[in-house]
Amino acid sequence: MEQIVLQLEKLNKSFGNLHVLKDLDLEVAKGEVLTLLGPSGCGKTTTLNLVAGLINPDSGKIILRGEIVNAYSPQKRKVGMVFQSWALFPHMTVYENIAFGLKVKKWPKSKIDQKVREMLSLIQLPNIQNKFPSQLSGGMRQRVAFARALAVEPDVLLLDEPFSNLDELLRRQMEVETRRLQQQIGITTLFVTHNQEEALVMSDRVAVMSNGKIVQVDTPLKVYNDPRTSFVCEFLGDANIFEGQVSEVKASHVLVECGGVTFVSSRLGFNAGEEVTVAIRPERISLSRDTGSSDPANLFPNMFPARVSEVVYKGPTAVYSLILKGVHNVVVTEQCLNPEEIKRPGEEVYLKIPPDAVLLFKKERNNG
Amino acid sequence: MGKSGLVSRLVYPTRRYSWIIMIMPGLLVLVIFFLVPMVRLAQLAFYQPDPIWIYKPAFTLTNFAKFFSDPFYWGMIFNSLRVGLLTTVCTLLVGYPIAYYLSLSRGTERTILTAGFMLPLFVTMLVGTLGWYILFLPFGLVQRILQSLGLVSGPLRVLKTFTALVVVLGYLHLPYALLILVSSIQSVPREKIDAARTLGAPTWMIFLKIVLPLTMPGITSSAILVFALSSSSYLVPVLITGQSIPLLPIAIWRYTNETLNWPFAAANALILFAITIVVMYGLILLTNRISRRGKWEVV
Amino acid sequence: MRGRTMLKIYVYVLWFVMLAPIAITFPVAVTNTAYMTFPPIGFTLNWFKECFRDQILAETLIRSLELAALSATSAVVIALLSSFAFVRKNFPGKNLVEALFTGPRVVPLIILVLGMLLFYHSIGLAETFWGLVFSHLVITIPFAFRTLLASVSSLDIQLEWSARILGANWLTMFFRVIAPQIKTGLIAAFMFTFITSFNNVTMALFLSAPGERTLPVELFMRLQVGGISPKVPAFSFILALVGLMLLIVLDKTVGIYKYLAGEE
Repeated sequence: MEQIVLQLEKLNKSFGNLHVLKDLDLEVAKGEVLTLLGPSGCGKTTTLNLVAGLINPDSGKIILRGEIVNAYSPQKRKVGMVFQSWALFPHMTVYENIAFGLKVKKWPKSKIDQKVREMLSLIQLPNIQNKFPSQLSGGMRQRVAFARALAVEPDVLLLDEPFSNLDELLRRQMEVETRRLQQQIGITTLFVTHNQEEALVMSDRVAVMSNGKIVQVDTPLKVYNDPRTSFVCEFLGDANIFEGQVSEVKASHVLVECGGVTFVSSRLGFNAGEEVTVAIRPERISLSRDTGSSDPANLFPNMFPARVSEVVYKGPTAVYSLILKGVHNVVVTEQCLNPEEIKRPGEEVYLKIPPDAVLLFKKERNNG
Repeated sequence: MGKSGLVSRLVYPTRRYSWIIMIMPGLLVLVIFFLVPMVRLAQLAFYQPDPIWIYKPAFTLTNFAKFFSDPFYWGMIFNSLRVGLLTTVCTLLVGYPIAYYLSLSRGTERTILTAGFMLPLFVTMLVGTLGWYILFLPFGLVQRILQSLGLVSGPLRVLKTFTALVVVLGYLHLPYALLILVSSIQSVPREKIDAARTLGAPTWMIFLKIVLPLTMPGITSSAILVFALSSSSYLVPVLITGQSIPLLPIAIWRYTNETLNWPFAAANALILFAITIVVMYGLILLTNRISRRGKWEVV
Repeated sequence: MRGRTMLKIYVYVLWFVMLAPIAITFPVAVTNTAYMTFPPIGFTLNWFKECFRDQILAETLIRSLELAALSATSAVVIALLSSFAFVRKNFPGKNLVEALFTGPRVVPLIILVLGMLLFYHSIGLAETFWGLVFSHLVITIPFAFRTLLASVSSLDIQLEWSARILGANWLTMFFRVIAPQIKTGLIAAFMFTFITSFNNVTMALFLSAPGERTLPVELFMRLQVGGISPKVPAFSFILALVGLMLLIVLDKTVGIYKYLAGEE
């Protein structure tokens, strides 16, 4: 059975009139990476700061290794934290930075030496101990920040958007690198980011946050393919959105009517006449020049004629904009392995959408 | 383009030579009224004093010889150094915790505290000096307080002393130090302190090992400023200690106005300036050595 | 936390100490005697009233205000022009000129005054009003320059380009595009140079004409005469109150720490 290392129970936090966290509940299991993903202002960094003890909640419990730590100062909580700016001490060498937490604990010098060496080899930078942070590159500084946080052998590792100061290429490298490191040590990690791709790469589970609440906690796969609300759907990846109404409910599927188009969706749990939001990911729609079969019984359930209005060629993929029923704008992404397959503007084609790709969400007053 | 065009041309430094016109007024004022007088002063220090013509433009080192051969003048250097350094040390020691508290304060409390500590900057220094004069009077307020604490008995004769001088100079120059220190302390990024907290460091250790080293440049700047201001102060010694403690600034004016020995006065001034520069560099070297500054940069 | 409370106590005790010399001038000024004495004998506000009736004080006050207004305005205008030249153009010898503009802050005041006094003697500006004005400029221009340099650097030049393309002349440009952006910097520079100039004693002491004293010099002279009349601490107290009000107003509008933070 999984061991729960970190538990947040009904956390509330306000700053002045702004109610940032609303009854937040969360559990993080031993060794897993759980990412808090959400737009700016959703409360993810606040949550992290509460776990670290840098700020205190208005109400609710923070439970670390089974113990309620609300009253503990950050010094006493045994968390390791990597900040957005990395917060390295510029006046100390790499060795002194990493050793800082250990000197506080009054470890003997030999033990500190050993630990620092261990950390440096872990981050694959064995020779920089006497350098100052200003002499290191961005990627190196980030890794030193990690080493410093991990050196004190914390129970939980807290990461506050630690890659946002790196350029694109370096960021991708560090994401993979960090994941490898985390798995090597097996440390429980709470990761905060607004970058959806990062969340999908780094996490065992993703908690999507909006307006101080967690909307969905699931594996990256499920959060992407099976989003619970339209907010989650639109935050992670692109989607074609339609507004419509459920016209018919069958045992295995549901019919939704949207402005002259009727979609077949395999999502259940809706009633006839209900107003819904329909979302279809661009990569789930395929385009073909014919219907594929002349037999009406074998026709694809969601097949619609449409006209190509724009094509953007992106190398491995092509992004098409199409007009459906003269009204709806639809975006489709397709892999283009064969140059002859690329459709051209003005062409009449058929859209094919599998029923399980038609995502349905109840209309909510406030999204998420 | 007409008149507006002509003025336009004058006002936009992005145009070819209008920057010359813009920099000219400031340049003129400072060259004529600052650079030239300073150069002439330096020259004057090397001229021969003359009882009739005040000075003869003949290059000579007699002024400096006269100064450095007489232990009385060495005593003056020593006094000026003492005043300057003591005031600096006291002001910084007293001021740093205040600056720390100020940097953390907000809102009304901050305004109230600022009003008290910055007041000497907004009022002519004579007001504060007069106030301390009154406080230090024999049988004045300070006397009464110290007497009730059992620290003194009998009339307080602090007025003509070194201590009084340091207290008043410290009072007048504390705001200068506080401004620099508050700015310096506030510039330490919050995240670095937070990082130290998550690494387990207690508050005193964070102060000693993180805040203090990172505010060292501010400490140096304010030390230099306070030293320069207090070692060259003229009015405060005149009002508080009179002639009882020989100090360079007072001597300078005596030679200028009373004995009309301008070259000697100029020499004194150069020596005072030299002391200020030497101490400034000394402080920079010292603090750089302490904080290993040459090797790292803020990051 | 105990440490925190101790710090708070320390700060507030020192706050009282800082206000003590100001506060003491009040009780001393309400004495009924013709000389300063502590504790005061009797209570009267006459000495305060006398301050307002004192002709000489009024004269010197006006002179100080004129001097300060003149120096502050000129300093700000000159410093503004100079900072534009600095920010917008990399002219030759820029470093030297910058050193020149910072110079007066490095040289101790009495040395500046001595140099100017001796120089003035040779060009006949000693003990003249204009000599005094120029000497004030020497210390106010560097300060205003530093303040305005920061403000001018923060100007968005694209706003000026847009205005020019739209046909604005320099007058419009300055008042409607540039000034609003550097409003606080200008106010701060003006106010602080005004205050510096008004409160300055040393320069006025040695460079002003005997019959044309400024307020601080008049105050200084009255401190010299043996047996100080209670009018002096009364006036001192009034000055302190004015300074206090000015401080609070400036802190609320412009922000003191931002504009006064020294060297660096």
